[in-house]
Amino acid sequence: MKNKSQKERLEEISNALFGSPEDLSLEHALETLKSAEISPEELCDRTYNELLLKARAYRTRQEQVPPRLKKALEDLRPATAPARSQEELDRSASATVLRIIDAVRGFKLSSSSPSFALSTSYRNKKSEKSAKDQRTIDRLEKELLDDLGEEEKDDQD
Amino acid sequence: MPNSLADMNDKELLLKLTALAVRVLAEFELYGPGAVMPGIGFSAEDFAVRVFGQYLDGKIKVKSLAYFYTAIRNDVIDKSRLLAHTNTECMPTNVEHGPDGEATEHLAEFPDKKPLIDHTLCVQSLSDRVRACVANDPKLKEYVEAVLDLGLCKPAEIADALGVPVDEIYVRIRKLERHLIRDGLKAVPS
Repeated sequence: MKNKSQKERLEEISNALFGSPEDLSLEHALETLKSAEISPEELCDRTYNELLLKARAYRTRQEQVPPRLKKALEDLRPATAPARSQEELDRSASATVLRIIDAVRGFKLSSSSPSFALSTSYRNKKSEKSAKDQRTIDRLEKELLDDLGEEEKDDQD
Repeated sequence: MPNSLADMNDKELLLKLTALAVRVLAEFELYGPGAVMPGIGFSAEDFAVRVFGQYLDGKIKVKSLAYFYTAIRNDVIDKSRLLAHTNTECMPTNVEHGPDGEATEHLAEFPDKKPLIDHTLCVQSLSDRVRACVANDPKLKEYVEAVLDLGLCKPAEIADALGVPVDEIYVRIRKLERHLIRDGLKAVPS
């Protein structure tokens, strides 16, 4: 890589061979990640955790969390993360109920289908979580809630 | 199809940046053990998240995905140069030994026959790698030749020259990228 023009030439060839970054669709990006054996979910979760630490570092230094970082935390927030406020919890619960209702509405049994019965076997199945697992989950949940509480407090400030 | 950064969800942006970083590492054939850059230990995800973090911090001003692509590429090149520099100035302390007990010529963390970093970052080596990887696929071969030998850059002009619809060119672009990445990963020592 001797000079700028060589760098530019390399980029030009790369764009010609593999397409311009501007034309990269999400579908194409996902395909590329799949070829490289990268899980998008794991990538987003890992990045979310790193960004949480980054935001925490800002707060530790008594600095404002940059708006872009806040937005990224919102966008990358895993669906499984606990709700940060009652309002959010209500919203998420309503959305879940609506999804279930939609799914039930869309589920049409054909006349030849056998009759279905609810089974209680799973309901009565003992949890496979050990007491130690539960303690770890509780601890992680508490840490996360504390973080989110602080974040919420910052947002209000 | 082009999406402005302002409208883009950060999840989508992160996935696209990582896809671009995968492309850069595949182009430079910089996959080592664990699919990370040898000697640096950074994966495509690491490079993407670094640039993404700098953007979120406001340390870099980026207007489009093309700027991000250049930033990732430059980061990879800088790391490669740093590595090459360290490589020439430091004496190896942990040299691998051959079966005869003699020290081999390369550093322990670099696989044998791996070209020096400067040689991997030039147009010629990219062209050679791409040509080798499509040698057994006539359709991809003619596409690559249109770009490398005829100097065509735009999908529409390549489609014209090859007498195929533009959509077919986009299909070949994706296939070529997949080939290059898989070839790169195949070379990853287990």
